[in-house]
Amino acid sequence: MQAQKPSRGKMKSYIEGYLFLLPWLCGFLLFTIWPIIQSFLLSFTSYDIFTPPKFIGLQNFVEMFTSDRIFKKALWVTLKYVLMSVPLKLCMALFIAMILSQKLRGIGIYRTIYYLPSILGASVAMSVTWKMVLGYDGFVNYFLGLFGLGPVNFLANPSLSLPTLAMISAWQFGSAMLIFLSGLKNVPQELYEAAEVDGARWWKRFIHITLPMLSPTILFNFIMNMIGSFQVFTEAFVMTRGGPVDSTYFYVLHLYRTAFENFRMGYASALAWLLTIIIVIVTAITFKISDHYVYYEN
Amino acid sequence: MQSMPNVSGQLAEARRKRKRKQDVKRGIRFALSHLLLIAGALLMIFPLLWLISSSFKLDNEIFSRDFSFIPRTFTFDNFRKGWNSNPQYSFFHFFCNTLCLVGGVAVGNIVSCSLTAFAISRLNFPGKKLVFSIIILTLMLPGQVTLIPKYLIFSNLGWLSTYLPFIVPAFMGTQAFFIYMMVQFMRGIPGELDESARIDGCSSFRIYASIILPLSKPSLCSVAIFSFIWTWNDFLSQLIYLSEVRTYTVSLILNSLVDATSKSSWGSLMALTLISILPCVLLYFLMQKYFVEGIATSGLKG
Amino acid sequence: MNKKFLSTALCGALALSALAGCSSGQSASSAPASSAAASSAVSSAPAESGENISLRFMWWGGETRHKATVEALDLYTEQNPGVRIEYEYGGWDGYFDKLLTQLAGNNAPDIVQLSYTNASEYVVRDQLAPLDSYIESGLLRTDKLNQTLLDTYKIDGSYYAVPSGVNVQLLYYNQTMFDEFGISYPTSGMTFDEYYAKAKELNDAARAAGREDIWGMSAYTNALDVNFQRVLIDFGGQLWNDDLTAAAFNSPEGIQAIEYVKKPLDEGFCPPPEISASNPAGVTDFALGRVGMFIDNATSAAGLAETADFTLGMELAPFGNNKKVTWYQASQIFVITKQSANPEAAAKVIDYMLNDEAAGKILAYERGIPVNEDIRAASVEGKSEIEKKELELVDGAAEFTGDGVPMPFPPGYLDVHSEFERLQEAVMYGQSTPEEMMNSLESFANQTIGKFN
Repeated sequence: MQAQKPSRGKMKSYIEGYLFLLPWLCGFLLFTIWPIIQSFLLSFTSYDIFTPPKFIGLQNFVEMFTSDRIFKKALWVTLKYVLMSVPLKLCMALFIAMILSQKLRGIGIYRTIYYLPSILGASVAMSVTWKMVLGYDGFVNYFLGLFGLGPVNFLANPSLSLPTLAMISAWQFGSAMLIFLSGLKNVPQELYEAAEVDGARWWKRFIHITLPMLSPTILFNFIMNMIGSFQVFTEAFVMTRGGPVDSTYFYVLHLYRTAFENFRMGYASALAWLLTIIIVIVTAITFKISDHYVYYEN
Repeated sequence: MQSMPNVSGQLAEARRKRKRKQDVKRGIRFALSHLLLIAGALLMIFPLLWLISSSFKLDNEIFSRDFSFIPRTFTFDNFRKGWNSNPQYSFFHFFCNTLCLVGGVAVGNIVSCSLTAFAISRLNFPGKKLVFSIIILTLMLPGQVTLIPKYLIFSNLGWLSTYLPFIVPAFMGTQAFFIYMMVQFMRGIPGELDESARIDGCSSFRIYASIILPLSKPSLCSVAIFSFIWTWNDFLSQLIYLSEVRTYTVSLILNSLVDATSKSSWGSLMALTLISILPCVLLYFLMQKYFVEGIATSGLKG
Repeated sequence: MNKKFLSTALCGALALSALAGCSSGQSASSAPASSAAASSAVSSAPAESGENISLRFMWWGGETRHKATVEALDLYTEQNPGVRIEYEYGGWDGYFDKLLTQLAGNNAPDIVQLSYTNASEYVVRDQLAPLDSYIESGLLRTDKLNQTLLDTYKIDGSYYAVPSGVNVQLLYYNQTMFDEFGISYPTSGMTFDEYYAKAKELNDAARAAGREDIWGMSAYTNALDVNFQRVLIDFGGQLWNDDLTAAAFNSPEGIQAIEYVKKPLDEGFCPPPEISASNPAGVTDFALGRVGMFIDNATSAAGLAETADFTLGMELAPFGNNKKVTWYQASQIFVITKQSANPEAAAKVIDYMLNDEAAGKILAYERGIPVNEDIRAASVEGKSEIEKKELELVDGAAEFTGDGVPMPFPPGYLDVHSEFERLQEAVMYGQSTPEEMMNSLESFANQTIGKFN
């Protein structure tokens, strides 16, 4: 397609470029593409690991929408989780970032503490801790009891378990907060000063200056967290096992159980591919919508 | 007629008043901010405080309904028992195992992701855009789907019960997120730097090694810390790839102590849990300056 | 300069940690290759040589089970220098996922501990080695084992598993709580109805004393094959059809059974599911002192006694209103995988675990009460009061067995089991009715079992 042959120097730099990419390319072919191709092919088969896969066309995908008793529920639960956890996390991150962006003393200490939960993450260790802290006789209920409140069954009440997991994920807002902090640093201070002279109240300044100037950062955080939330798994796997009454039966948990408890690798692959397609579509829509709202300086 | 000094004095007085009023307002705002931040900070770390206090408690006090942060009977026993809870090795062994695994993965990610990110952000070649889009796309694929095909690959290579299934892919840049993060960072480094170096006759590798890498230190640190923490906390893939107890990691040992069908000692579990999160916390404290800088740049350019 | 120093130091530290890792984990990175080589070498040189056999033994458990098992197996390898056993143990979480990937990767351990319910899963998928020849040749002695228990694992005419221990359900009660409200202790040989009445009595006394945070008993939910099956048989129903090809529980008796299990919740003398479900894994309402009575396996006794804040009492579980629906069951089972290169050596190890006196002493009650009657009889020695009582009750349970015989497990059972738990949870939370539950469980069960026919 190229109009003219690249010069020798260009050729050399091309080759250099590919050389730099070589490790990635090998890894990509071997550990990403090859398993992906396998899983893609498997999604059109019925495969229980012990006997060879059998081609069954689109039957897996048909089953999802017709006879799978949990698929729709899991998809719905996951969507609800995304809608709860992502805004919650971003709002908290932005809120704290804005407070921290004032020139306060001790900001380093606060930053450290607020980031700490993100370090602990969703490990086995933290899941055990959360389950104990949020239990019926746990610390949180003890604390609420001091004010005559509760006890609240955070993880065991079907209508509270999902919001509770969303809260736990929002608790790890550290990375988003750091990204917001640096975004806030890049908002020209003169804009605020000018607005202050005009007598604009803080919330006006927030809506008319901070939000637009920060919109690319918000978009980035939103998309990253959304992708992560769609793939939520560990929290449910170790803390709630999808319960109570399926209220935290996430899509990936369904996928995992289908594969490893029901031995249905073909169907699980189909589930995974559908999820990937959903994520890609939702991301694309987000980008499309964001065109109207996101402000780029150049 | 008022005299000039008087006017200016009044003005100054008014300004001072306004300033004082502002100061007071500002003071209140600051105090409020601090109050809010401290309350928030407590909210952030209370599970951690609870964990620390529990690991010094006796088993039945952990579940006791009248809670107190200060243990009624203070015991170090949990640590001793937890440390020796495995019949074959002490906890130290698993600690070293995990360090080895995590260290390898972190080095691998730094090397491979920086090479890849350098190519994408600083070099020109056909197909560059495509490569970058592919990397972004791989972010969206749930990892569980490739678990079995990957297991079969590693099993055929004879890598099970070694750390190779973790380290080798890391050296081959399979962590798309890190590449993405570094690309964003490296794009922020002024292009004049490598252009002038190129005019001086530097090879791309020289530019990579002696200009871009040193300047990317914050980003490298972030990658190192992230891969350290993620690998440290990971459970599922370690469970599946590591079957010999000798190669177990901290996550697997913690899991081997939690069993719904037989009795677990919660005190020592809490103590081990506490020990197991310490390295991540320490590393974060030590490297936080670079770390913060590294993450902060990743979201700037959409 | 300073920054540069730091970065170099950092890189150095990372490189060092990697190196240190490699040296301290040297065994870790080099051994697997050699062990793989060893196992392939073993498979080419058959076991008869008796030299350098390497076996892998996989189980799940908690700290004490790991310790006892490792000690027992270490003793075995000491006595049999030609045999090397590699231990693969962990928690319950992810255990079967790991086994599955290993089977898929043709890398499965030789000896595997399975749940007493799921041997048939692996038999229909042709993953387990039949044990008949080892039993016949006396390599794996079963003459001292409970024959009924053994026969549960006779699938299509072959034995595929042996029980690691015996379990029977016991009724645990909180003596301190009964004393506090001045209520007489429960006894062995109660019927379900009497049990409920006792729970209600305790519950009412607690309410009268203004205590809202304790209940008479724990809900008798979850285990499809034990709890539900016992009530079901008591009402005259049965779980599966006779040739195990379809569900038979969706009957008036089945619905009655579910309603009966839910009765304590409806009448308020067991804690609501919102409270029970908020406990950490492995911690029960009973252990937390929230309920007065609780039915659980005999093997829980030692653990309960150790962690409980109160005086623990125990009796036999209620045996049914109409029938004697008590039975012995395996606590876990041992199987040999088809991939094993040394099934004879593996069978010998299992034999040692079950029939060796020294092993019996070390393993104690970690996997249920010993199945070997001699070892069981000898095991009383040096045991705590609780364990002596436990053993006495387990032996005494024979009096209440007879009418109810649990059915064997159809293939796909574990899926049905977890679906049962899921659906019953919805009933307990009041989000579904027993009829709805039985209908959807029946269609799910038939579909699951049908896949294997």
